[in-house]
Amino acid sequence: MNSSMEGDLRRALHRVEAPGGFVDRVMSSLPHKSGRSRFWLAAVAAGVAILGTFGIEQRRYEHRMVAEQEQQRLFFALSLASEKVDHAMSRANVRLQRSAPDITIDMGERGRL
Amino acid sequence: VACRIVLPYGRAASLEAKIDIEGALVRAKAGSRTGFSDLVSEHQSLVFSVAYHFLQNSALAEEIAQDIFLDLYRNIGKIESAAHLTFWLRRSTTNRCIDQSRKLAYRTEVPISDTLHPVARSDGRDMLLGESVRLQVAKLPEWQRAIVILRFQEDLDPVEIANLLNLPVNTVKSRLYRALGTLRQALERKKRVRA
Repeated sequence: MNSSMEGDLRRALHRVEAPGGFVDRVMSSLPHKSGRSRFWLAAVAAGVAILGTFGIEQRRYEHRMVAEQEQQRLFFALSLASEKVDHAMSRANVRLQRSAPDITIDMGERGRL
Repeated sequence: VACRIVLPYGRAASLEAKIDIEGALVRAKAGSRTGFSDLVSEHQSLVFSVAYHFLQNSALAEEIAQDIFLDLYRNIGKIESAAHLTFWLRRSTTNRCIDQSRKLAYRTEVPISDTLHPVARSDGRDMLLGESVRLQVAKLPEWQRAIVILRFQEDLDPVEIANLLNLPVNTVKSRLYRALGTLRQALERKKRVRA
């Protein structure tokens, strides 16, 4: 009796196939990317954004440093040139005073020229 | 070349098919949708049948089966092997069915139309008996029903069922014994009424 009922149970509870198109319905309900891929995609995107921002800032900083160095060189060159002009004018003044003591060059005029 | 091997608990399986499931699992874990689709094809009858026999409602069983496979897709990285996959599917489906059954109080409400679902492939007498047995199984309390389905549909022994449902083996044995007693009484009563 027992084994007969167990046999009946086995026959009654055999596996049945899911309705047609079940696999397609499951596959169409899945998200396009798995959670794990999405996480890695987001992590890579964040990494690229951080590196990009850092790179841009680094280039700006380097450009600023180069510009400041150029500016310092320019100021140095201008001050050298200014000293040379002063020196030349004072020598010319000395020579002029020797040859024509009544004529002098006003050094203050240079700034206005 | 397909060769057949005999697995424990008297179940035979094709070695070729087993390799395919492992292969499909590896591909699915690597993100392949065709790999995952192969896994669904291979295990759809397991999941759908447990849900169908538990709830005796084809639409609800399909809905639960779809949810289970969606869950599997999300957790595919945690699945270690084909055997673990089968274990995971059986456990998830049984737990989901128990929850669903409690929500809907299915013990007392079994749709007549669904009990006559044309999935049984047998002759008229067997079909009637099968329907009668399924109907009585659907009336069992949730845990007894789960144990009976896992025992007779999935051919699991009480130790495997205990492991799957996180229950002591003796609890499984006593619930199975009680369930069989209830079913025997109900089926004998039915036979007497018919006679």
